[in-house]
Amino acid sequence: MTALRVSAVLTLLGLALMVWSIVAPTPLPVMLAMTLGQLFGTVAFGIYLVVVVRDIRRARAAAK
Amino acid sequence: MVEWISSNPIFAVALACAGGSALLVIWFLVRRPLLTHATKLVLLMAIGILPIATATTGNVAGFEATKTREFCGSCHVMTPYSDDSNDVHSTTLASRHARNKLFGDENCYGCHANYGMYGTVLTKLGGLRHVYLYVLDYRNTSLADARKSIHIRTPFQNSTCMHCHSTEAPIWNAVKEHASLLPRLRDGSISCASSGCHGPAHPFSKVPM
Repeated sequence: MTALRVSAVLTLLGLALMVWSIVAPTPLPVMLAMTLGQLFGTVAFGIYLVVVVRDIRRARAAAK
Repeated sequence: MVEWISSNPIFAVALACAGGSALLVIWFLVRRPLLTHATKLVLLMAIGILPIATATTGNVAGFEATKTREFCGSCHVMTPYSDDSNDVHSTTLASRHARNKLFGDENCYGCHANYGMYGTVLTKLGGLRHVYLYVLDYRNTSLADARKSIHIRTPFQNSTCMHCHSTEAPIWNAVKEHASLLPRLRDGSISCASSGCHGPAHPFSKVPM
């Protein structure tokens, strides 16, 4: 669950950068959104996938 | 700002997706629910689908924003150029194109974009190079120094003008200078933006310092 909370916080950071670039489309926000913002979002989704896949595997192993 | 966002549905979609995702993520952080199937689905929306939708629409919005004169003028070294384009009394090529509804707020992009097969990509790569140089070299440069040291990287191509002014229209060829210089205009050996023809494009282009 800690990993998912980290993932959630990274998602919020990524979203903040993306929204900043939409409401203030100047070079710095746009560059940050397209680099750091999307990196945060990708890492967050990666963490989510790892946690969920591990949980599903554990549940299947326990069922056997 | 509300007017600006509502003028483009992409902005509204991006903000709605971001808002929805943020609400679900905050709910997860505050309530700390067990990792049930329902929680996983909520998180799939919050961390996966909605942020991807935000990034996609945000990218489109970002790429559109980078076409505007306001964006180009947001680097201080470009403000004299954008101010000239905004000046309704200016007679420079840039300003006259800014007053043309077909160019409007995107007159910088309209004239400085590449129009080949990979034109958009090449233009964006060139823009990235501008941001890189601005951040590293020109961020603290005074306007006076910028005017001396910043120049167009390669000579302006007539083919960019010919994207709209095809040189085929009878009314264009009725101008005797056009007709007599047609081969040289087409091969680029004479610039449309030469002083004495239609240039300079900006009030300080090609002016000895």
